[in-house]
Amino acid sequence: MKRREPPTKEAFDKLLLWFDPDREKAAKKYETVQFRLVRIFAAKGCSDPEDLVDESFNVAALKIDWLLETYVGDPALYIHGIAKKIFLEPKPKPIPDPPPTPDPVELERRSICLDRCLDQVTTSDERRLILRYHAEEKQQRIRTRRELAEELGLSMNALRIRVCHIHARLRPCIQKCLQLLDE
Amino acid sequence: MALNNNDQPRIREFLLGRLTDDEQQKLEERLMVEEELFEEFEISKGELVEEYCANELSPDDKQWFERNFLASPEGRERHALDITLSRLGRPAPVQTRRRTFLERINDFLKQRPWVIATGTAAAGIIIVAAVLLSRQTGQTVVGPTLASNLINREQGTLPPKVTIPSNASELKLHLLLPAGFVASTNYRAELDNKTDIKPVKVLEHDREGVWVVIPVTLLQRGEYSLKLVAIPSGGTEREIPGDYLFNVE
Repeated sequence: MKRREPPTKEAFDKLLLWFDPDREKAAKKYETVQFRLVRIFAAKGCSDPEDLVDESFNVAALKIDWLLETYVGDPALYIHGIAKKIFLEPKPKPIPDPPPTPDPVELERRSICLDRCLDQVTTSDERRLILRYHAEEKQQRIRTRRELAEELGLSMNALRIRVCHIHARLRPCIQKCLQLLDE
Repeated sequence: MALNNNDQPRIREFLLGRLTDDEQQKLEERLMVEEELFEEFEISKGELVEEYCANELSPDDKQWFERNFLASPEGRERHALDITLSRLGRPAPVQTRRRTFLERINDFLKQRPWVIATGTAAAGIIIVAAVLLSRQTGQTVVGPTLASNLINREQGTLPPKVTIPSNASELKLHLLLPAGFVASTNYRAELDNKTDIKPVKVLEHDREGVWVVIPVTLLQRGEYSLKLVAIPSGGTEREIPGDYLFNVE
């Protein structure tokens, strides 16, 4: 259970105002800050980054009148400071197990979902790109990716970005598909 | 703000727990407000997961990554995706007809006519160098400086090609240490020809890198990788991340 209660509607509205006087822009900024904090604290080994970030917003909401009056700077950095403080609070942190390798049945389910999602959220060119990008190992992988970048007229970095964007579409699609298979 | 040359390695260091508290703080603050840096962060996570799955991380990095990013729900999800993608991609990659080597060379030269001129000049220099070297007997040939394939992969660099004159007895190579790696008191190196792994002699080392020497009797035409291991005085051996790849022609 979270130690800080969610903000009242009034406090939440003020929190949005703190991000931007335009409510639509404020909502967008709120989402960006939330997303980035979750990703950063996941990388730092936080097992429940969503919870940590929710709590950080709750703390900011508790101080919102003071913040609106006195804080100068990007709200994103202030919320990051709160999240860091909460993350560093002493609490038992068991050593996690290595990520499990999916068993053959799970792997099959995931492969089915990957196939479906490749059909649903990528174009045929993107599908070919993803398959070739992941087709080889070690030295051959570097060579293939370089060839791929040349064929597409991209720098290696632009190719990495393109693949990252495709992965970002595939991951939620696969999660949704796995849930549907469970039902 | 645009990325600078240090940002990519910095992010890797962050993800592998190698930054000080102050460095972490600064990087995290930039991640909160800089779009391009955050994008690079997302890409680097994916690449480290790939390296983890391919067993390309050093034992220390592997353990850190497991206990931090891979312990998060996002890390586990990316790990599972990488395994699934590898399985899907490797056995039967679906692709349009792969162009032959000659077709690719032809296309490349059509797009870049200057390559023909430069290539001709380079070939001349190589032939002269080969003739000069062939006059010497039992010589130690100095090969190119090699960087770890982890760095090369980020930069899209192919393994360098090495031509060994027929009368050379040894090939000497300089292996660059990764940026930020604390130099060790000693090193050992192993040559992997994809069939056998053999130890090779470490000649000397400094802060920047390690010189190794390989008898040419161990080198036929083909692909090779060198693995470097740091041996601190009284400490535990530590593998330098990645491999040093080269091709013998």
